[in-house]
Amino acid sequence: MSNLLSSVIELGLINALTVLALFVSYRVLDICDLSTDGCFTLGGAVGAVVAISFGPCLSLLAAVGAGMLCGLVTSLLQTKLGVNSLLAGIAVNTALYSVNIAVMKGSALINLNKVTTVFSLTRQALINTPLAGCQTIIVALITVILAVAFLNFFLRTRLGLALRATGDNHQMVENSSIDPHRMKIIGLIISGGLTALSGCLLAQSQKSVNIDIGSGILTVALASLLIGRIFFPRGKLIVQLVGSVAGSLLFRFIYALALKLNMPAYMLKLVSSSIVLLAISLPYLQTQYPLFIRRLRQNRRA
Amino acid sequence: MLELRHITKIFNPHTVNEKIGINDLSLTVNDGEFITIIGSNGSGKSTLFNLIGGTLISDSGDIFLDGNNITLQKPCLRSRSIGRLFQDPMAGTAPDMTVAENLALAAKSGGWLKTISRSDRQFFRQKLSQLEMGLEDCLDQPVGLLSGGQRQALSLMMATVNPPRVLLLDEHTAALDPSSGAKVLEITEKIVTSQHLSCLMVTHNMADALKMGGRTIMLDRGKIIMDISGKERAQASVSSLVERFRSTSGKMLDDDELMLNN
Ligand SMILES: Nc1ncnc2c1ncn2[C@@H]1O[C@H](COP(=O)(O)OP(=O)(O)OP(=O)(O)O)[C@@H](O)[C@H]1O
Ligand SMILES: [Mg+2]
Repeated sequence: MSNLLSSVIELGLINALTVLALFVSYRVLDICDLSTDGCFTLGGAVGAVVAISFGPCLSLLAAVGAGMLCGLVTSLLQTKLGVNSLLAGIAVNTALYSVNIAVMKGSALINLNKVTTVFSLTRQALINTPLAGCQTIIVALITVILAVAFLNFFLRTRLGLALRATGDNHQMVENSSIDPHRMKIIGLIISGGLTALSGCLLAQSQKSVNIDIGSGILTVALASLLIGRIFFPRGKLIVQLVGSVAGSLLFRFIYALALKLNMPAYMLKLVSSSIVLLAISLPYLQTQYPLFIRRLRQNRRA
Repeated sequence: MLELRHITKIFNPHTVNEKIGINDLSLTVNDGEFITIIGSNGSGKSTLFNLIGGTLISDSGDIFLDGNNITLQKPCLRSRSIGRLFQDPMAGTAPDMTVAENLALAAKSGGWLKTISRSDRQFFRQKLSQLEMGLEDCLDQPVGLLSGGQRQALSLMMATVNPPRVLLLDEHTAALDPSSGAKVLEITEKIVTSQHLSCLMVTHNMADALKMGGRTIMLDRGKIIMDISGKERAQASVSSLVERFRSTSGKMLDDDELMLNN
């Protein structure tokens, strides 16, 4: 497998966890959670620090726990303190910058070169097997499959249905004696856990974490989610979940292609922002276009 | 039994926009009683329902349901025993979810981590076939694709699949075309009488108000100005109701809708 393609798949799969997190917060609950960037970095930072002291297995758990805590805080701000959901996300994101540096013991960069990570562990296990050298893809793939399977089950349970209804029709949920606030809290806890897990895996796969590792990840993941939506617009839950993962891979593929065509790497954020804006505004423009043409004709006649 | 004791709700008090929602209103709804509610626009009918349902909290007075004081209880807790339908057919259902998923949310069978089983689907199909609207064949369709009448009938099924202690219907057929409105009304009567539900139904149609249920009350400026049942109600005619409205409230009946629906 070419180096380029394998890095596309690796990054695509690792980011897919954040895309799945947004599937829960953005698609299901209809909340744009702006704390995603900070939460991603938190996962990387906590994962790195715990991996250094307590080993790789505990590091994944700790990262997920930290992300869930972050989701809990964001959701409590929204539901119990009446903070607007965008503002709650921004506040938590800003606060996390300090928290993350504190977690990394005052430094903005931690090197994991000599630390045992889930990837180095798997790498050793795979030596002398046909899969040798594929540890990143394998670990990421297993995690993504587990996450998709979990969401595919969870979102079809009664609790999951309540979560979906909360984003769909707030009033109806209240009338069905379900507390919509509680549903938001549960949803954001899950999406926080997934986001941090994503950050933790990225940090361990690239053997370092810096304070900016999560910057822009929300837009990248949102772009991936929306790309997935274009190709899998409707259909069963599992199709939409797999579509979100496919969107993440596709985004990374498009980006890699653009790099091949000599686009500088620093353009990533501009590209992802543009994709998000296009995907959201195109359907709107589509509805406005016929009216625009009619107005134009009328003006010409007049 | 639902009991309202001296409930008052004033909107924007002490401002130029002060509006009386409900004014010192007391009402007792006995078990199994089906009450129709009439009154001109702005007389406080929806406000009354919002107070009972908990979307509004009264300024003073108490609400008791089966002896429990629910005046300050959150709406999501109250709705365990209070079912509601609104004028807007979109209000009662989640459009992106399927018919079965909507019903499963309302039915609440099993624990939080239970998915919809085959026997659940069987149960939903059997329930929906009672509506005679062909919904039993649409279990896996998103509710957003249903007609207004179908959605309202589904909402009714969702509100009553676990029989509530009180059912509140706020002009729930007013936004439907006449034939599906009549159909939904027919189903309403069937469900309410067969389950012996306590039910409050707001309507602008005087004939329906007298025909359905066993008691009719009229609201004006947040007060009950007429409360008839039994013999008195059986002898009342639509025109006598309009006449009564005029004499009691002391103002001309200017509500077109009330007149047109005679
Ligand atoms: N949220 C609110 N804020 C301010 N005033 C309100 C509010 N809700 C209702 N009102 C006022 O309270 C009064 C009663 O309104 P309500 O909606 O209960 O009337 P209604 O009897 O349901 O009328 P309709 O037949 O038009 O549905 C009206 O004067 C209305 O303007
Ligand atoms: Mg009303």
